[in-house]
Amino acid sequence: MAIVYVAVVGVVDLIVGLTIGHAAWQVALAVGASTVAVTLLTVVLVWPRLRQLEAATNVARALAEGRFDERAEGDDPQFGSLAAALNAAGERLGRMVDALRLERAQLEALLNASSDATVAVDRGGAIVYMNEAAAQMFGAARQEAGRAFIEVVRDHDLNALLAAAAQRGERSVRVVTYGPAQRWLQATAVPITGGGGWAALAVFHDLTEVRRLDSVRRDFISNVSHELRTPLAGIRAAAETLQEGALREPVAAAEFLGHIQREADRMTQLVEELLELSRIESGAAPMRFASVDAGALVRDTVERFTRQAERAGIALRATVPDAPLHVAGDAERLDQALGNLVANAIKFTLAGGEVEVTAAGTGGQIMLSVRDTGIGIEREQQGRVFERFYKADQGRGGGTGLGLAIVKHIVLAHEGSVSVESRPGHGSTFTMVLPRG
Amino acid sequence: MPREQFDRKLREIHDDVLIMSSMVEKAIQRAVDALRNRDERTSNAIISDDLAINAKRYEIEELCIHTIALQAPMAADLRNLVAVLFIASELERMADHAEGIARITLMLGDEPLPRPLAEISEMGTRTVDMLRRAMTAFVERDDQAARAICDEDDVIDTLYDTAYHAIIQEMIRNPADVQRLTYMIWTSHNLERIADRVTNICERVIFMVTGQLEEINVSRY
Repeated sequence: MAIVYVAVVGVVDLIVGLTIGHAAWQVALAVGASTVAVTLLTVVLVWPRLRQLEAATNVARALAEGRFDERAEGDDPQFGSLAAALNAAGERLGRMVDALRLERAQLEALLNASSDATVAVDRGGAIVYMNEAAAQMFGAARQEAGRAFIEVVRDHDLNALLAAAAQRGERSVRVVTYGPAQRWLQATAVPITGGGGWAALAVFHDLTEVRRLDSVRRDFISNVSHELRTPLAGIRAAAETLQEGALREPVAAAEFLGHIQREADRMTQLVEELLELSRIESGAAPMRFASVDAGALVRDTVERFTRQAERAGIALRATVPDAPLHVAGDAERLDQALGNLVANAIKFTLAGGEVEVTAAGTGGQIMLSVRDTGIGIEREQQGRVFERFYKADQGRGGGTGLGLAIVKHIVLAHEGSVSVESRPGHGSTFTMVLPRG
Repeated sequence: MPREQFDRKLREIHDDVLIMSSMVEKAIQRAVDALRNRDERTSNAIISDDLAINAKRYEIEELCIHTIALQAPMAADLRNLVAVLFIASELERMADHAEGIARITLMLGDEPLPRPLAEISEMGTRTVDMLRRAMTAFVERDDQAARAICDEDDVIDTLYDTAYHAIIQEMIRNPADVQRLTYMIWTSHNLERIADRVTNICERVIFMVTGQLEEINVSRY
């Protein structure tokens, strides 16, 4: 109001001034006063509005930059509503982005929770997404996005599947082997339409364990059948020969009956070993735990096999410490396990070789080892020798192929472990580690 | 021609070389596995798949020549393409050795192996691993890693020596097995050659990175 008053006074002054004749300086004074008045008027009236506009601009800029928590204030009737509209937009966008972020995190969690490897690629075959399982399966870092899929997985079969989906829109499911460990993967590749940079997605399901179990089951059935068929064929042939007249010749009859008995014994041994294995494995055969002296166990076993080793021309010896080494175990079962290992060592060692049975203790554990200078076991076979019916050397020995499986399950029932170290052509060492008694 | 376009072409060529090396790695690994398991079906597949490897080699060669002709690359870019040409040719020859092993499996037929694979198995695993790492050195332009892989060829040569002498001893002991034992020597020789070609690839990687053409590890064979 004061400004208006000054302006009015100025104009009045001008009129008065003109009338009384001090024209020049009074005009100048009046113009100056008016300018000041207008400026002051502008500052007072427009400045707050400008500030509100600037605040609104800041909010708009923040929205553009993805910051949705910036707010503008305003009481001006025009700019105030702009600020309110921007604030509402910010709030809504913020909520939407939070919801999307949550959804993305949930999807990511879902994909990462899956044990199946999932990879997405663009049209050029570059990785645009991979979950944790994929990073683990392909030995890659999760930040591989942008690198070519072939560069990361280094497998042309898997690459071909994804390329067919990304470039030609082909959907396919194939089982392929992957990597030096030859893992079996079921790979499913699907093209993605409208997925932005995602041209194809592939899911890799590891079938290695399933296939292994399936192969163990098939081998088991085939082995049992084979092991039973051989003595059965012998029995049948002997019985037929008896029927066809050998029965009337006492000497021949006795020989064929003896043959039938031996084959029946072989079948009985096989069936008993199978039952024994099944009993130990299922825990149905109770272990009679006591404190067993490992040294005495080794000495007794070596004594039991001395004659057999001598016949094979093999030096068999025991190496045990003077002080007793106590194992918490079932003496009869441990004797059976050690016996199986020594029998194998003798069977697979040529004349002139040696077999050494050792008992030793460290910390809370007792080690029982059987070392031989025999034919050894190929590295690929070492992991399989404890499987039922697995015979590393098919041509040698007439065993049931169950001996080492029995050893493994006896040791497992003692909460111990058994392992093999071997160099083909140089020999093998089987070691049972058992808890100290 | 714009740089971006050239880079894209180069990436495409690199991806193709990696696809080809994966085909060769698998061929070597499967050839040794098939010999161990007396797997005729896989051996036949290796022999027929060799055609695809040969085709891939020509495809890469054509891409390289095309790129060289159209874009006249200089210095490092030219070395890169020249290295690819050599690597593709080495890979193709390696696959031929793998095919050789597959043919040995077929020749052995149903007869059992005259002795365990032993060192031959080890040679197979190691050469495949060396090849894989050599190709990583190529992609990552890592001349130090390439040099280190060249040194590993000595291990393969030693394994070859051991296998060779053990097989000769076995021949003396069992003259009846001489023919099948000769196949075993061929197998180990094929693997020794493959490892030697891995060192050739490494030399090309060093050439590509440093511009120096040098023979790093002279094989004893």
